[in-house]
Amino acid sequence: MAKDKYTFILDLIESKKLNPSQKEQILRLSALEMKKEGGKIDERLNTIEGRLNKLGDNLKVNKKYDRQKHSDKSKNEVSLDILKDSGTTYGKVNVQNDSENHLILHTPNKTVELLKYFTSNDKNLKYSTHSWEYGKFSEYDHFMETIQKEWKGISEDLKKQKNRLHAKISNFLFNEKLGVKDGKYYNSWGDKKLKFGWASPELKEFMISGAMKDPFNCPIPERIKSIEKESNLFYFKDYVAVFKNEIEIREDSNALKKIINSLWEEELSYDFHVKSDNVEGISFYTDVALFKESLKLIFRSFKSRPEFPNIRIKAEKKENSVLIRLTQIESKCRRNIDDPKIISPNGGDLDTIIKSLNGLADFSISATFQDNINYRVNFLASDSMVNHIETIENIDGFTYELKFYL
Amino acid sequence: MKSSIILIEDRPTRQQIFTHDLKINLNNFPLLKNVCGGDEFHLSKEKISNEISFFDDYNVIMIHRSALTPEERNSLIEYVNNKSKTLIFFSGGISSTLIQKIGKGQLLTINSKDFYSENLVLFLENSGKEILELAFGKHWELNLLIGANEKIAYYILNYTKKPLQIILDDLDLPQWIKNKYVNIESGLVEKDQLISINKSIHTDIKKLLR
Repeated sequence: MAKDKYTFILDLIESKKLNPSQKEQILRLSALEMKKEGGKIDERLNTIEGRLNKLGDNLKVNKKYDRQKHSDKSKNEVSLDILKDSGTTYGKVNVQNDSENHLILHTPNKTVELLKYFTSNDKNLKYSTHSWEYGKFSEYDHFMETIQKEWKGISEDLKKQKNRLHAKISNFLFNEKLGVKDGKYYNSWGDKKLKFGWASPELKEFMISGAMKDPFNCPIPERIKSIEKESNLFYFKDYVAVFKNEIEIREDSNALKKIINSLWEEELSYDFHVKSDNVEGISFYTDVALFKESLKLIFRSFKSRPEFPNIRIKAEKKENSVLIRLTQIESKCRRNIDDPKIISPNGGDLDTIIKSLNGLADFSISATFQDNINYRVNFLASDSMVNHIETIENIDGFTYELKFYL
Repeated sequence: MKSSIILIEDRPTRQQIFTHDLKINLNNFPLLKNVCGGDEFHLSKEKISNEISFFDDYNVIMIHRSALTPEERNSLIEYVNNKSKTLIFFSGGISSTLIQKIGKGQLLTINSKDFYSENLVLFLENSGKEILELAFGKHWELNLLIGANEKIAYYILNYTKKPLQIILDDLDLPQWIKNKYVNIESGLVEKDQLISINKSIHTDIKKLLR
């Protein structure tokens, strides 16, 4: 951050024209600015904090930079802000922590922006999943060249965001060897390991066999049908439909509810009762396979505590996000809040969920812990102002929270 | 006459082919506000984000799903949920027809080829009152009963006891069929109970065919 901006912030903080909440807002914005520029965050925030304390504003300064592993680990101390459920700070506590802080800042909304290439009207990649408007592309090669060019522009970014998602899309669009064995295994794409895509030679032949061919009506060749595990794929449009449902939870197939019900049956059994609220009409972009794998692990954790058979799954639609809360009613966390398995999980199911959702969704758990205090532990956050651990007011049971962006 | 149904389409060619084939003009239905491409399409689409109350005058909102961003879709779904309206998303990418209750409203998702069909004309000719006509045609009751009968018969084959909620979700039965035929308490459902439901449906199919 340029020196003049920094001075400007200090001037604003000292201004008597601003109320405490406005000053707090400035502090939050300043932290974001500093993060962008990667400067000496600790030192500068400490200076601003010092000025605020002098002014007696009683503002609670959140040391967010702790969470970005800028922290001085030798102190082994995490600063916790006591938050109301609304997120309003009303106090501070310190918890001894021998482990590395585990809040990961990530950018799931960037993944969504990239996946929107498959639906935005001004993108050619849209037409890999939508019928071609009349005269949109002169021929197959023209289409493939066009999307290849567009893909090049986003490929590296998507790979960084979520490698597995990138591989799935890349294979669906450009792998010419789908259905051909590479050593022991067939080249394929996606969760169902499908073996036909845009670059399959039969699709190309179909397209050049006559004018005005619709690629989506290309029949699937016998050599592919005979090796697919799925039996209901007859035309290329059937593959496209699967692909669309692998990158988006779609309301038109009631996908969220179907996933919940299938996991209830497969993972929990009907000794548990699952009540889902508001899960109809929900759609969001994600890697559906990874999302489902994460839910599977969450359901398994519920199953390990059969004394709490009531599960509630609630989806809340916000302006630019969907928050899914999965609660095992009345269950509490049996561990301490400073247990490394909670605050810095490494190698267990919780760690697997974090890795799966990294780049896809913000992820937290909320529960009453052994000290009878309700905490929310944030593992993946896209907002740099979120604390790793915060105390909250009301809670119905151990809850997993997944926030997807629109 | 004030329009009570709005159709928002960004692909005029598709609509032109449909209206040409059926020799109809959608603009001749007074209850329909037909927004088909051009500036008016963009203006109507912008209302979703900027002035959702624009849709207060319409009971039924029909719109091409792919023309919308996820935020716009979400916004419309929330709107019909709160305002007890019917929302219809049509798209070439939708593989089956599905009616879902969304809060106080309902959502129909339908393939564009099924949407632009004689069923749309029938729906408009009958004042746009019965969404099932648009989704499943003139003989919707018979169509849906036969579909339900077939689904339940198949479902029973490998049936093991399941909660009612799971069964209803698996079968995706229309609300009126659930209301009329599924009079069982929640909890695990016996196979005989499903057989009994299917017998009642079968009886009504026979009545309708007489």
